[in-house]
Amino acid sequence: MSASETQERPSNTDHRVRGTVRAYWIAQGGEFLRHHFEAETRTRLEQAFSSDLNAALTGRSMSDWIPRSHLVELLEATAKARRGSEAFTDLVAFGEFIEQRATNRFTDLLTKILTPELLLRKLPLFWRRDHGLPGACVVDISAPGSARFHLEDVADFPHIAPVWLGWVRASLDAVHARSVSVKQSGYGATTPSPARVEFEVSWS
Amino acid sequence: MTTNDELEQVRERVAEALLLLSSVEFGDTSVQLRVDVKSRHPLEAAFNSINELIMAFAAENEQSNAFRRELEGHLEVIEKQRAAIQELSTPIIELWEGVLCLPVVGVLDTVRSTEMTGVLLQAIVDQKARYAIIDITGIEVMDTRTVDHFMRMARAVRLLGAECALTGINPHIAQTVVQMGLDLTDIVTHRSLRDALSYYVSAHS
Repeated sequence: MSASETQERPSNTDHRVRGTVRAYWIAQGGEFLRHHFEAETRTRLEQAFSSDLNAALTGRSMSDWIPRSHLVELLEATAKARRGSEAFTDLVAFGEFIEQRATNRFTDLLTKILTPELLLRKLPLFWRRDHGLPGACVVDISAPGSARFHLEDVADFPHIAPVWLGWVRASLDAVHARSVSVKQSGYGATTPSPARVEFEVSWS
Repeated sequence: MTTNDELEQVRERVAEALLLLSSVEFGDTSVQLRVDVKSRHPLEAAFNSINELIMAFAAENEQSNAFRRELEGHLEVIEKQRAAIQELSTPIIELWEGVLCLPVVGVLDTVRSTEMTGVLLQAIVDQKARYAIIDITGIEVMDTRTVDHFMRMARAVRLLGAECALTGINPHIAQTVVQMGLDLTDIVTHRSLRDALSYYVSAHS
């Protein structure tokens, strides 16, 4: 390791990233990297973490609102880990992991009474609970078996589209929706942070 | 409105309540349920009660945080005082060039003895001292364990190539040492600090 690599990494919080996110997204995101990637990749990613992110990964109350830039740093690390089509899969897995791990007794109760239609109608509340502003999740149509919704004002929230896709898919699985399909349009390797992302969901 | 619609509406409101309570369980007590004050639906009364509970929980939480902060403040003060006491309880004084003095006051237990030995040895190395005087004028009790601490201290000093002397033994302690059959022959003793210093100066002049 060169001398420059051993120095304390400077804070590289991206001040272009506005907004906040719940601390449990960061804590569970760090856990996801440890859980999802092989040791070598994981070590490489963790060594590149900024000092701000390292501080955010420890010692926070679950419900604290913390700068969204920390989550963006985790998402960018995930996207760069294996690149290519695997990056999309990894980001979807990130969202699924958060949905499965950031739970408590009330979210468990919630999954017992939610139907897929009701879950999708409540997506804006879930978004507000976890991500706040800027950005919003807007449900366009929620009917039995299908729904359309979109994320808006998320231009400075790169990679949130596949993560939200994974989160929604895992949520639908949790409320026993079958043959779930979630498709998005707007996000891609060359457009990681579109202002608006459309989603189409179907299930049986 | 049909029964099914009503049921769906109740389900929706309960889902909202659970979603909000999940935030409360994560630790966010700033949230409140939307309540329709005009409605006479039993759920609205229940939601009112939940809001009151959240407010009460928030107040308790705030109080508990205030207590914790206060306690942390006290612990910080105690820690600073402990460090100050430790520093004061192990003062190393340079009496003469190459001569250090460690005045021992109070009770000498194993922890304190270990700390003192460490500080004394470090001072001998740092200041290139040749002679260390342990003055026990202020010591309260002398028993076999205390004597053992001094013997160990003296042996450690000698290992660094310095000499060690014990001064300030008062008549009461001298009597105790004899009555208990404690062996202090391995350590040089002088009546007072002044005697020990005079001895060193004359021996090295």
